[in-house]
Formats: sequence, structure tokens, C-alpha cells
Amino acid sequence: MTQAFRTTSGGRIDRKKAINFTFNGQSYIGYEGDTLASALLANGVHLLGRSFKYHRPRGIVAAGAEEPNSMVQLGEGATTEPNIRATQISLYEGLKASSVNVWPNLELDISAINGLFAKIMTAGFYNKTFMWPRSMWMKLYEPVIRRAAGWGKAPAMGDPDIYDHMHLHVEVMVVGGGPAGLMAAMAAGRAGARVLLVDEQNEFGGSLLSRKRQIGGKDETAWIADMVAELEAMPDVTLLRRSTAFGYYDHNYLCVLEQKTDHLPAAERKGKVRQRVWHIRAGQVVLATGAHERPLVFADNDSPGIMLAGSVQTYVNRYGVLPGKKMVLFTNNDTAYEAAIDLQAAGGDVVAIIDCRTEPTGELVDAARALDIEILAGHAITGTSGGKRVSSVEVRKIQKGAKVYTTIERNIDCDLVAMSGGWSPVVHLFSQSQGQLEYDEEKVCFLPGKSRQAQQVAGALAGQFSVKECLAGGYKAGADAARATGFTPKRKPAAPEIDEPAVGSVEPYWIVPSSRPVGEGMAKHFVDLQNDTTAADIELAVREGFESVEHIKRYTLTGFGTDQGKTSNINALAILSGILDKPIPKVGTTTFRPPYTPVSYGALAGRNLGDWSDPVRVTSIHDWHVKNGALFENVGQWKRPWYFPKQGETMQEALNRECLAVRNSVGVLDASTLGKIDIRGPDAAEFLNRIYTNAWAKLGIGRVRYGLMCHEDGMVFDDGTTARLAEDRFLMTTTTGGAAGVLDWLEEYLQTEWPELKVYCTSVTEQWATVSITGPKAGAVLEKLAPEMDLSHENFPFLSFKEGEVAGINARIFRISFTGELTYEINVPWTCGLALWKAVMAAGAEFDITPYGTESMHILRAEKGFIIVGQETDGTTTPQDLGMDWIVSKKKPDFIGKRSFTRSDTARPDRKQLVGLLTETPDDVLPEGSQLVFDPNVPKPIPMAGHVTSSYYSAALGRSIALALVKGGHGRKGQKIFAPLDKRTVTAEIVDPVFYDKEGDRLNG
Amino acid sequence: MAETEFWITPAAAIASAFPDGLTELSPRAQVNLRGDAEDASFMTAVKTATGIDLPETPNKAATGKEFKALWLSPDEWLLVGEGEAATLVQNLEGALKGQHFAVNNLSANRTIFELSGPHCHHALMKSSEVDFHPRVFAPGDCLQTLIAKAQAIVEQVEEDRFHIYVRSSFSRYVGAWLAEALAEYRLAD
Amino acid sequence: MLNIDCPWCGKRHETEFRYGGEAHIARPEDPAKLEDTEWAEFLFMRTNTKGYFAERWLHSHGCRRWFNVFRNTVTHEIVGSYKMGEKPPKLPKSAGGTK
Repeated sequence: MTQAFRTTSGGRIDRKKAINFTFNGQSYIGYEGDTLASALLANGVHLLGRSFKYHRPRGIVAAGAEEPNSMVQLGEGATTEPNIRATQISLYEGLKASSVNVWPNLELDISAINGLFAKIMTAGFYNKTFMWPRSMWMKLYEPVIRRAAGWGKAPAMGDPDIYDHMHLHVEVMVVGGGPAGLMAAMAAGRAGARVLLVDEQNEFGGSLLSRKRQIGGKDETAWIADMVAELEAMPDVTLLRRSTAFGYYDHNYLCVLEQKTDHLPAAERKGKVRQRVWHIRAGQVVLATGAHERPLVFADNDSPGIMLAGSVQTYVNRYGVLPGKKMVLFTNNDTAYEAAIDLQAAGGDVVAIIDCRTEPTGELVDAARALDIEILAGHAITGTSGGKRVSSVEVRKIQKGAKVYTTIERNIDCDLVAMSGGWSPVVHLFSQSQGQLEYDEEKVCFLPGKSRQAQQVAGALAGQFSVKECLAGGYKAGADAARATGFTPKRKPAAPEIDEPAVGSVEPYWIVPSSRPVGEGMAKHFVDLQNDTTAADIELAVREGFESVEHIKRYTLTGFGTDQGKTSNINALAILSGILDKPIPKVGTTTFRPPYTPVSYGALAGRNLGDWSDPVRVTSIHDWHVKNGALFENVGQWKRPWYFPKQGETMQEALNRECLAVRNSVGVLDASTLGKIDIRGPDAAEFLNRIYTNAWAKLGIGRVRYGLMCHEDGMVFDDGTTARLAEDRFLMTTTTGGAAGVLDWLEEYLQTEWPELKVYCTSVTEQWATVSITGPKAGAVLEKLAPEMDLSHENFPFLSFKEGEVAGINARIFRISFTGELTYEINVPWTCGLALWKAVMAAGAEFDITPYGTESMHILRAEKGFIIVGQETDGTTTPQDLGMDWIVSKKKPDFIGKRSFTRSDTARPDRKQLVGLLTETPDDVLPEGSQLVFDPNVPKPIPMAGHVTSSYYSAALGRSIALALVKGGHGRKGQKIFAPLDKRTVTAEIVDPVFYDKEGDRLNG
Repeated sequence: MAETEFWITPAAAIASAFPDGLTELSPRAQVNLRGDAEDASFMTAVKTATGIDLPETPNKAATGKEFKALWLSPDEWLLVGEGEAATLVQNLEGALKGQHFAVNNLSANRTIFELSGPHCHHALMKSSEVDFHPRVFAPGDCLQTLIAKAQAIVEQVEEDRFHIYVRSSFSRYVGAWLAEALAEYRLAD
Repeated sequence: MLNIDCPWCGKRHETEFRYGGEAHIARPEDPAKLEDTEWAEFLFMRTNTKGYFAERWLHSHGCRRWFNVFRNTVTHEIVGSYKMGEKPPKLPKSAGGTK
């Protein structure tokens, strides 16, 4: 198919580089530099899809980010993307796209019958119709509506593309590479600031890409090229094309989406980063985001071929495309006349200009007259026909203030309607940055008012609608930004001569009546094309009691979707202002939120996927565990061996084997993950006295003690053993997950409450790898590894430590126990952990030494009734609740948490207290977390008595055991308690939480 | 020294696959020192023991003969060098006897990656939110921050050469992350 | 993403810090002497200010120092940071400061 609507010359496309693509299965040719939208228009394709609610035919309206229609499904397979607007897609060889929301096909859309039911599909239709009966929602309404109204399809496979994030700090960030933005970047760059300039388009130039201008004796192309060349030569100026600043956050933090390969054919994308999210921290931000043209709201203003005038001009000048050959222009301002003049110059025919203003005057108006274009002043388009492509418009004389215009003046045949309702500055980012908007009556738009962040505004965003103003405003903004960040701007260059028409006037004209009042009859005045919201819907919403603009938005859906209402928001709120008879500024705007344009999840995730979604911490022995078949458990960010199943073993069989090995011979655990903190200074013992619940002053050098920590509220938050290395030095261990929090907490008290204490805390967690050998044969294993060391109980008693060589490595050995068995925790420098582990395995071979993981560790400690912080405690558990009064000093006048133990709530007798549970049936293992009740037979809801915190099958005891927090549990030993489960109720007896070796005889092997 | 004889870090397993511009350095002494910088007797004793004037300016490194000292906090430094850690600890303990201080041999606590070459800044921009631009971060500067999501010390040793100190348990995660950050440029070069 | 001025390290992103709640709430000298209600006041009650607010932050991934930040909880404007034991900076005149 030939490009019948391509002009013979001109445009910024490369006519030597033809590009093949398909749309809805049909092959077409475009040129490099095209968007999918411009290439389709060049081929005369206007009908791109069907509308959301009424399934009306829709085409391309705009040329950029503001496009409300033209959503397509782009690509195939894993990389397919739904609902991408054709104006946002750079054309590439082999591109495949198809329409969305059409079934069974574009030309014959059965669902268009919805249009006949339009009367019932008004605002709030979904809310009202499908509310009842509720059971029908999931079964019927939801799936049917989804298929009928659903847009494109999400890919069913994982995204194979690469995305990443980058951080950049600059003094001046400029958003928007039009004349104002280029000038701002230039001013800041010449001043010496680090500058970032971003623009969403594939080339810089902004509005100059669409309009022909002579600047300082050069045409716009040469001017842009010279500007860009100078900026590119500055070493600390970064230029990003195809890069959309989509979010403006606190303290000048902005996010930019750079589309790096989306414009390339598939073969050239391989292995490259597809999209990059830039995170920018800027000293100053210059917003030069331009303006979007507003549509006019008239009857049946939605047919393909009805487009924005400025966009028509873009297609003509930038892409060398005639969107139509017989154009009618409908406008309320002068600027739009230029579209008519340019289209005529490019070979199109402008059949009429319909201007709502009664007496349009000015340079452009005169120019149009000089071309013999008919101008119908004081007239309006009050209807269109054509359906799949506009074919004629109905024109009536405007009767000021009337709800109905009575007489048809003319019917004009055409294939293109270019409309312009004036320009809305792109205030989105400014508004995201918490800046306040002010309504400008003369310019008929919202402009940036008071800023809340370190920023400047320039160009059309600031109401500077001529290139001349843009260059001056841009330079000033860039220079001011540079000055504010400590740079001295160079002398301002002389303003160039610019050949451009005067901007002229604009007259607000928010809604165009037709032969019947808005909302009556079949005609529709669309406000939001993407959501099929009409002016009548807004009226209806007000009649139903919605007045806040935020409520209207949600009730009518105006401003939702992939375009976020860029062409509809201001029209909607102006119409609302008319209905409410309140001035526009009093109605206010809805909140602008990131992202400015859609951003894929892949880009937001960047490389933080899979193994990198969170850091994985491993010990120096990790690879041995992997090689030896360990399954792993996540503990905080750590990977810890969970258990080591042998071939053919079930989990329970493996656990039984591991636990019995510890009870009968010897087991070995990688305990390197425990937090370790070196605490040193003359006040170290006093400090421990204050932060632990028990007493530390008299602990002998070389001895170890278990300690419990509470917050000020008296609730347990960590535990561990601490050894006294010297008079003024201790080594504290913390739980694996609690290490960082405990250190922060210690520093908090030292730095903020007790700066007079002379104590230094140093994290030494990863200096020491810890291998714990435990069981009756633990001593025999250690003896082989440390033959010089006296391991007698007199010389090396429980709760003490020694330093010496183990397997030829300098080590600290602690005699503590979390299993109730004789245990040596051997600490060696982290990097020697694997060497020690291998030596232990070799020495223990004759005792069948058994590596075990966290699950067996949990069983072994539960058999002894030892708590795990975070399992038996949940931030509402006191030491007394745990039955650990023995560790709470009565003598110390104060320590953290002490005062709270006598609060009425912590002292009440019916608190949940730690107990043991033995199920009536010994094999029955209660699920952890089971709720417990005292009497399962009372009417529901049954009062809760507590919950199971730990529950296991104990091989050593040949039955199940559980720990639980039970209301008043300490006084209920011997009583029955019940766990009502899904299909049965388990009965258990409340017992002491120590199940095994109550006397502690086994500690010494 | 027994420690280095058995030396292995979690990153070692992947280090052979690192691209140009990224290496894991051989083990070296890292000794953590805490004390009061405003106490002249402390500063003098450290100078006597190490020959280094401990940097008091935040985020600066000071170089001595055998060791350099990285500022970590107003009362904390990391002494790094090729010398013997145990000897350094002994010397400091001796010189500071009777004072309030803390010294710990942390040579195994962190591993050190060297990031260098034309793309080291790009790799840092992908890994850190901190501004490492030459205008604000120069050779002799060091700071603590996050690399990807792991705490790290970053020191610029010379132009386009950075040392990144990472806690041992994070070393495989950070090593793999930095390698991936450089992968894009290996393709392009 | 706040840009927080650590009194030692300078401006760093929020991700390096940990929040520590309202500043200038001293732990009572002798908790044992307090009535339950007084202890509860220290333990639980905070001002939850809308506007300029002194709060504690920890540079947890940096120099591990606790310090104070004077911040507007509505606009996120940070007036200044100051070390423990120092007084908060004066409010800017535009924000209703007196001097």
C-alpha cells in the first residue's frame, strides 16, 4: 500500500529509510522518524479502535503524550504490551500492532450495540447497575464486563527484557527540551553547573519540531542543532532523549523513564537495557514542560478524523503527513489558524474555518483570509456525521447564552476536523511537586503559582506562548537556577530576531450546544474520550449530588486511564464550573499524581528481581551446606540450613535423625549468623546492667551469662549470651535477625540518654564464624581438634570461654548450650569458617557427627523449653509472661523496662503466659499459630484463651510437644485446653514448658 | 598467619567470572578503632603507634606508612593496610593503655572489591544513591552508604579507582550486583 | 525521598537513615518515683505535630550517629539538622518564626 497521505517533501522523517510494519495484520510502509500514529495516518488509516463504553469508532486525536485514543496492543508473545498509544510508539522495522477493545473485529464491532443502550450507561452506571445481587458480581458481571470493556491483553509470560535504575546528581535539571528548556540548559551549562536535560521525544526542539520559525537568521532545524551541539560539548551536561520525567517527589527528587531500545527492531535490542529509570536529585529544577491543546466539546466530537489543530500541524510539518485533504478548522483562538495555513501549504484543502469568536482579528487571521480560506466567525460545529471517519460537519450560528442553537447554517463536507479550545500548560510535574496553581483569565488556563521546591518554570508552562518569550524565559530560568546553586551565569546573549506570528487572543468556549440541550437526543458531547465521559455525565453527577471535582472525577471516570485526562481535565472542570455557577479557580483541579505517563512494572523493578529483590546473606560455610544437600530457611536476609535430608528421607525422618544424633552422640550447627557486638569501656558493666534485665557487675572475667533485653514498655525484644573478655570488655551475642536493631538500640541509649557512660560498641558479627558442636560426644570431638586445651569441667565449666587453637586456627570457644547438651561454640575468623567446619566434620566422623539445621535447633531447644524471641514473644510479652522472673533483677534500682513491669496491664494475672502443651494423642502435632480455647462447647464466638507458639514432633520423647501462650497459663498446669482446628478439635494438657532433662544433667556430657 | 592460610570469602566463588574493572582484593589488615578525637592524648598515642594523624574531617582517609585510616564516624576509624593486623592491634593496645578506646581486628569482617576503569562511575550510579561525581568525591575521600541494598564503605583510591568494603555475608550479593552493573559496557566495548 | 542533612556526613538520601520519633523526650531520671500516669505519659504520649516538628534520625548506614532534624511534617521542608544536646534552629520568618 502506498503512503497516499504523505506530502511530497518536508518533515523530519528520513524518506530514504522505509520501514515495514503491520497493523491488524495488514502490511504498511512508513519512514524512519515516524511514530506508529504518523505512519498510519500517512497510509490513510484513521480508525484505530473502539471506545471503552459505547464501542464507538475512534481514531488518532493528538500527536503526543496527551493522546486519549489510539491505544494498541504492541508486539507479540512475552514482550507484548497492551494499551500503548500509537502517538507514543516510534516506528521500527517489523513492528506489529493491533487494535484493542474490538470484538470480533475493528470494522464490525458487535458490542457497538452498547451505543443503543447509551441511556442506561451514563455516569455511575457500573456503580448502580451491578451492585446487586452481590453473588452475581464474580460469576457474571465481572467477566462479561471485562471482556466487553477490557482493553489490551497483558503478556502471559515473564518479561524477558532487561531494566535498570541509575542515580544522578545535578545542580540543574531541565525538564522539556523545547526552546525554553534548551535555553535554560544552555544558561545553566555555560555558568558551569552540572545539568541534566530530559525530553520525552526522540529529538530536542519541542514545539519547534512542529512549527516553522526563523531564529536569528537560521531555520528552526539549524537552531536546534546548534544548541544541542553546544550542550553536548559541555562535559558535565547530560542530555537524555526518549526520556520522560514521570514523577516529581520531595526535595527535588525526580524519576525519569528512558526508553533505550523501544524504537529499535527486535534484533538490535538483544542483550541491551530496554528501559532505565533515572533517579535524579537536583539542586534546582527548571520545568519547561510545554502545553497541551484542549479539544472543543461539541456534539459527536469523537469520530476518527476529528483531531487537535496543533497536532494536525505536527503531522504536516514534522512527519510530512496530511491527516486529511479537506479540512475544517474549529477554534476559539488565533494559534490554530497556523494549522490551516500549514496544511494548505502542504497541499491540503482548508474548506472553512469555524471560529466561535465574533470578530477574530490578527496576523494569522489575515493570513488565512489572504489564502482565500472562508472564515465563519461567531459560528460553531454542532454535529458531525460519518461514523468511522468524519465526512461532514453541521455548522450553526452561535446564540449567546442559549441552550439550543436553532438553525442549521451549513453542512460542510470534509475528511478532517481540526479543533482547538486553547492551550493548557503541562502543570503535572509542577503540581506533583506541591506547587500551587493559579487560573489566568486572559490566557484561559491554569499557570504555576507559588512553588514549594527549589524550582523555576519557563516556556509555555509559564504562559510564555511565543518562541521569543520562551527563549527569554528559558534563559532567565536557567540562569536563576545556576545562581541559586552557586554558579555565576555568563552575560546574557542578545535576543535573536525571530520570525513568528503574534500569539493572538483566546476566548473561553467550554461547551457547544446543538439542536437539543446537552444530554438529550442521540448526540454525545464527549469530554473524556478514553473513558467515554460526556458533558451530560458531568451534569448528571451534579444532579445526583456530587460537587467536589475529586468526586466528579471518580463518579464519571474523567481523567483516569493511560492518558490521565490530559485533554479532558480542564474541559471537565470548566463545564462543572458552569453547572455549579462557580468560577473555575473555586472549583479547583484534581490532584496530579505520578506517573505522568504509564511506566511498566519491569522498569520500576529494575534489577531488584529474584535473588536481588533483597540481599541474600550467606556464611563462609554456605557452599558446603549446598553441596551436602541442605534445604534453606530465610532468617532475616540470611540463608540458614533448615535441615539436611539424606536420599529418600522425609523431612520428619531427617529431623528425627538430626535430633537423636545430638541427644545420643554429636551434632554440628553453623551458628555464624548470630549477631556479635564488642562492648568496651570503663562503664561497660554498668551499661549492661542498664540494658539487660539481670545483673552484670559481678560476672567474672572468662565467664558467660545469658541476658534478656526489654524495651521501655517492659516487652522482651532480644536475648543472647554475653561473655566478659576483660574487666572493661564484653562480647555480646544477639539473635540472627535482631543484630542490627540491637546495635542501633545500644547506640541510641549511649548517644542520646547516657552520653556520660564511657562505652564503645563495635559490630563484629562477620569477623567471627561460629561452629557449634553439641551432644554427649562434643568433648571428644573438641579434644581431637584442640589437644592442648584442658576441657575438664573444673577448668572449662559451663558458661565460660577459652581462647586457643582449634584445628590450627586461633579461636574463642564458648561453653553455652541451646540444646541442653554439652556444647562448644567455636568462633574463628569468618574467612576460616569453612576450614574449621571441615576439620570438625573429619574429627567427628568416628562419632557419626551430624550437621543439623534451624528446624532441629528449634526442636532441641523447645524440648528444653528455651524461648525464641519472635516466636514465643511478639512484642507484647514480658519476661514474667515467659516464666523468666529468675532473670529479672529485683536489686537493680533501674534498667530498661523495669518501671513498666508494675504497670497495671503488665501486672494483671490473666496475661498470656508461656506453658507447655502435651496433646492427648501423642502423635498429634498442633499447627503453630493454632488458637486455643478453654471450652470448645460454649456458643460461638468462643472466648480465646491463647495460641500455640511452637510445635514439633520430638524424637527424643517419642511424642509431640508444643509451647503456647495461654491466659493465666502459669496457674493452669494440669488443666485441659482445646485447639479447634478446621475439621476437628485437639485436646491438650497444660504442662511445664521444660519437656526434657528437667534437672539439666546432660549439660556436662 | 593462620587466618590468611584458610582465607575464603563468599564472593571468591564468583570472582573468577568478574568482568574487567571488578576484582576482589587479597586479604589485608582491617582494624577498627574507636576513641575521642578531641582528646589529644588519644590522638598522640595513635600517631605514635601508627604514624597516622587520624582524620577528623568526616569522610576523609589519611595515609600512613603501613596503614591508612578511613573516617567512619566522629569517634571511629578503620585502619587498613598490608601490615600485620595482630601487631597493629598490639601496638595500639600498648600505646593506649589506660585510656578509653576500643580496638578490634576486623580483617575478616569485610571483603574489599576494587572497581576501576572507564565505567566505574556508571557502575556506582547503578548501585548507589550517593553523588560520586569527581566534582564532589575525590581520591582520598571515603564514606559509608548502601551499595545496592547492602551497607558498604566506599573509598576513592585514585581517579577512576574505588575500593568498596562489604560485610562478608553480603559479599556474594554485592559482587554479583557490581558484575552485572558492568555487563552492559562489556557488551558495548 | 527526603534529602537529610547528617551533621557529620552532609546530605544523604532518606534510605540511609532510620527514623527515631519525636525529639527532646528525655528518659526520666528515676522511673521508680513516677506514678503510672506519669510513666505512661513518657512511654506513649507524643505530640504528632502537623507542621514544624523536631524529630530524631539515625544515620544507620553511614556514621551511625543519632541526631535531630527540624522538619515540617506537611511540606517536608527541613529547616535544619542539629546534634544531640543542641537546640533546634530558629524557624524561618516566612514560616511564622519570631526572630
